[in-house]
Amino acid sequence: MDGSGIALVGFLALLALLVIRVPVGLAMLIVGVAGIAAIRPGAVVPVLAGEGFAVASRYSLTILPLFMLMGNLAVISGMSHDLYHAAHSWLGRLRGSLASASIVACAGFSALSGSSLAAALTMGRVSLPEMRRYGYDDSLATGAIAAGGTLGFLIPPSAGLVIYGIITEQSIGRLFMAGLLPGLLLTLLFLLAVGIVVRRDPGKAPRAVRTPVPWRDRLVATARATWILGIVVVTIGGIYAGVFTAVEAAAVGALLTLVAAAARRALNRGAVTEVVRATLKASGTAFLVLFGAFVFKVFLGLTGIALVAAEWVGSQGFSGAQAVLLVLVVFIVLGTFLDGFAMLVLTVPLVQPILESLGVDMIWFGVMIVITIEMGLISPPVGLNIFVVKGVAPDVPIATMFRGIVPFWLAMIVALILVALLPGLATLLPNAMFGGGG
Amino acid sequence: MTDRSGFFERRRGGFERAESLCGRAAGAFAVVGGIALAVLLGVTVAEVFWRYVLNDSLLWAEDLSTMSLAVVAAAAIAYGAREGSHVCVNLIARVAGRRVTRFTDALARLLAAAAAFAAACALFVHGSCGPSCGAVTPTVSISHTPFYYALGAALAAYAALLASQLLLGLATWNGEDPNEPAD
Repeated sequence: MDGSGIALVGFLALLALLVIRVPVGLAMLIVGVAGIAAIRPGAVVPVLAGEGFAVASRYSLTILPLFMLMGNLAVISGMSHDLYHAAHSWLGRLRGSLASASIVACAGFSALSGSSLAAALTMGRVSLPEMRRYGYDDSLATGAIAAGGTLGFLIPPSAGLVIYGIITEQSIGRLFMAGLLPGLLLTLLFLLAVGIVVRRDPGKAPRAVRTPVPWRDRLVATARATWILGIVVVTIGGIYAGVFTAVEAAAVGALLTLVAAAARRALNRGAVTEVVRATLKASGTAFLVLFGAFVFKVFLGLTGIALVAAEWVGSQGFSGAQAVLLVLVVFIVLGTFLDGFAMLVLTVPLVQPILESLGVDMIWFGVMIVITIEMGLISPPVGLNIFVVKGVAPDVPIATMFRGIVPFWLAMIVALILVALLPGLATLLPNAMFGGGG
Repeated sequence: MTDRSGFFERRRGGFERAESLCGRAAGAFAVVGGIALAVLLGVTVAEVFWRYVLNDSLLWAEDLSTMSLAVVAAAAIAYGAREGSHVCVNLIARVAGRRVTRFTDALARLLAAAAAFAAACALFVHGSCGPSCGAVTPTVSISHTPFYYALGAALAAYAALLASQLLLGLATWNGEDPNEPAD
C-alpha cells in the first residue's frame, strides 16, 4: 500500500475511533502511532516522546494557560457584571437593549478570556435572568448569549487563533491583530441581527428602560468597568503597539486581572482553587489535543498525502478562492458535529499545504476558519455554546434555542462574505503593525 | 457475558477504589500544576519587568518558563482526565443506547489507555537520556529528563484512570455507567 492509501486508512480509522468516543487527542495519537509504525517503525518512540515534550514545552504555548488564567480570574472577580451594566447603560433605551448589551459585554469579556464557552457561561449567568425578568422571548435571549459567546473564539486573545497559529506556524501576534476587526464587525452584525429580529416582532423584546439613563449614571457604570477596559487596552493595545509580544501580553494581562480581583476582594482560598482548577482543565484539553495533532501531523507528513492532494488540486485548475470556499463548506458541515479544536487540528495540517500552494494568505484564512468554527459552536445538533446556555436556562427547550440562533448564524455568513470580499478587514492591522503580507 | 460481568460486578468496590486513587493522584497533579502556573506567571512577568523597566534581560527566564509550562501541561492533562475535560465526539449516544455504548466504551477505553500508556513509556525511555543526549534547555542547561518524566507520569496516571474506568464499566455492564461521557 502506498502512502496515500495508508493515509486514507488512517483517516477512516480516526473517524471510527472518534465515533466510539475515544478522546480526540488520544484518537489522533493512536492513528498517528499506528501509521508511523507502519511506515517507519523505528521512528515511533522518538516521535511520540519528542512531539509530546515539544508541545508541552513550546514557549509560544505559554499564552494558553496564562490567558485562560486571566479569563478565569475575570470570572471570579465579578468584572463581567460591570461590563454588562456599562453596556446596558449606553444601549438601554433601544428595543432589544438587554440582548444587545449581552452581545457587547460578551465581546468585551472575550477580549479577556479567549474562550467562547467561558464568555457564554459567564454572560449567560449575568444577563439571562435580566432578559427573562423583562419578558424577553426565550429564543432571542438564549440565542443572543450563545452567539455572543462565540466572539471569544475570534476576538483576541483567542484560543482558536493560538491553536491555529501553532499548527500552521503563523505568528500568533499577527493572528491576534487579524482577528480584531472581524471580531468587531461580527459584534456589529450581531447587534444588527437583534435589531432586525426586534423590528420584525417587537413583542420579543419589551423595552427595559423607558426614560434615558442619565449621563452621570452612564459614566458611573462605565467607570466601574474601567478595570476590564483598562486590561484589554493594555494587553491588546500593547501587542498592537509592539510593546509586548503575545506571551508577554498574556502574562501582564493575567497579573493585572489578579491585581484587579484582589482589589475587588474576590480572592479567597476557594476562589483561587477554582481558578487554578478551571485553568488546568481548559489547558489540559488543549494540550492533549495538540499532542495528538502533532503526532498525527508527522504521520501525515510521512504518507505524503498533503503533497498528493496539492498536486491533484493544482491539476484540476482550482483557484485559491475555490479551494477556500470548498474547505469552508466542509468546515461548516463538520462544525455541526465536531468540536472546534478537533476540527482545527484534524483538518488544517491537511489543507495547509494545498492552500499555500495556491497562494492563499494563511493569516486571512485563519480568521475565515475561526469564524466558520464559531458557526459550529451554535449549530445543531452539538453546538457547544447552546448546551452551555442550556445549563444556565434548563427550562428552555433546545429547539427554542436553536431557533433563536438562526439570525446570528446568518450574521456569521454575512461576516464570512465580507471578510472574503474585503480581505483587508483581516490583513490591515497585522500588515500595519508587522509590515508586509506574509 | 453474564458470567464475566458477574466476575467484574463482584469486584466493583475494588475498581471504585482504584478509580478514586487515580482521582487523588490527579488531584496531586493539580496542586503541582497550580504551583507551576504561579511560577510561569511570575517568571514571565519578571522577564517583562526586567526587559522594559530595567532595560536588562533575564537569561534564564525563557528556560524556566518552558520547563514550568511542561509541568503545567503534564498536570493539566492528568487533572483534565479526572474532570472529564478531554473532548470526545459524543454522537453515538444520540443514535444508540447503552446496549451498544457499553461495548464501544469498553473498546474506546482499552485503546485510549493503551495509547496513553505507550506515550508514557516512550517519554520515560526517550527522556532518560537527558544531558548526555543534549536534552537540556538552550541557555542555562536545565536537564529535560525530570520534565519528560513529569509528562510521562501524567500520561501514566491518565492510562491508569482509563483502565479503572474500563473495569468499572465492565462491572456496571447491566446498569448505568458512572463515567458516561457528558454531552
